[in-house]
Amino acid sequence: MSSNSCDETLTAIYLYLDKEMGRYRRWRVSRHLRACPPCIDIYQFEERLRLTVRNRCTDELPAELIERLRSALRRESR
Amino acid sequence: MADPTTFEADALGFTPQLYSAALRMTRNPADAEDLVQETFLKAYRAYHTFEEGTNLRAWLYRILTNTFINKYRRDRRRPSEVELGDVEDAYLYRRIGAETGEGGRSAEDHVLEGLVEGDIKNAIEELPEAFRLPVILADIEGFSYKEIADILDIPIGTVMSRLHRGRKALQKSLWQFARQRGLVGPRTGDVE
Repeated sequence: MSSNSCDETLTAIYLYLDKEMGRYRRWRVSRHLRACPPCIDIYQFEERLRLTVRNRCTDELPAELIERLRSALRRESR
Repeated sequence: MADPTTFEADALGFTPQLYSAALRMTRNPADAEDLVQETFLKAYRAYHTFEEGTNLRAWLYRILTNTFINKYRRDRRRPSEVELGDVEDAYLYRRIGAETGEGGRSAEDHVLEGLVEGDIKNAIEELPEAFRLPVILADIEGFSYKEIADILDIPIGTVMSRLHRGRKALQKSLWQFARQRGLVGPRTGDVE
């Protein structure tokens, strides 16, 4: 049960971040990350970038949109 | 089978996220509103086919995405026709490191904090469509690969490769915005 190499870890970093990995592979990546400052650095950057993108892609809902949808649905149901 | 009389209560709560996704897809508020309305009308008409207990949010995104592709899509390039050039993994991280030298945490924060909403939205909206949809669904909406495969009607392997290329393209574009904003590169004032 050798630990992952840096190359293996970086190849898997997005799968890991996306939580699209089986338990065993996930455990191997986690173990490598805990022991490898350069890899954990990249991982944390990618994680912060993902959050930044997600948090800054929100938009204000046009005030009348929900009402407009309600009345469209009611017209449809008549 | 879902009850049409509960549709409003069940589905309208998803409006804010559907509207945001629609805006990233159409890049235009009027089209985004129309797209959302059309999505809800189609969903309402088809609600009797929705299997209760399955994922309503994913079902609505599937209708949104299909409607967008059929009606609003302008960019018909296939993914294979999109030239990304040579972009390495963790591109942004490596570029920031290369530009600012070692000990980069504060340089990284400077870039991440300095990229304003408009930069990030533009970077997403400029992505070629074949990549933009998976990136929106995964990175903003948080859907799983399997859900994205169902929403876009493509195999999981295709989802993964488009996400991979889409994220590279996104990082490349964010790097360009960071440069334009002067968040990296030679700082004014440092010049001899």
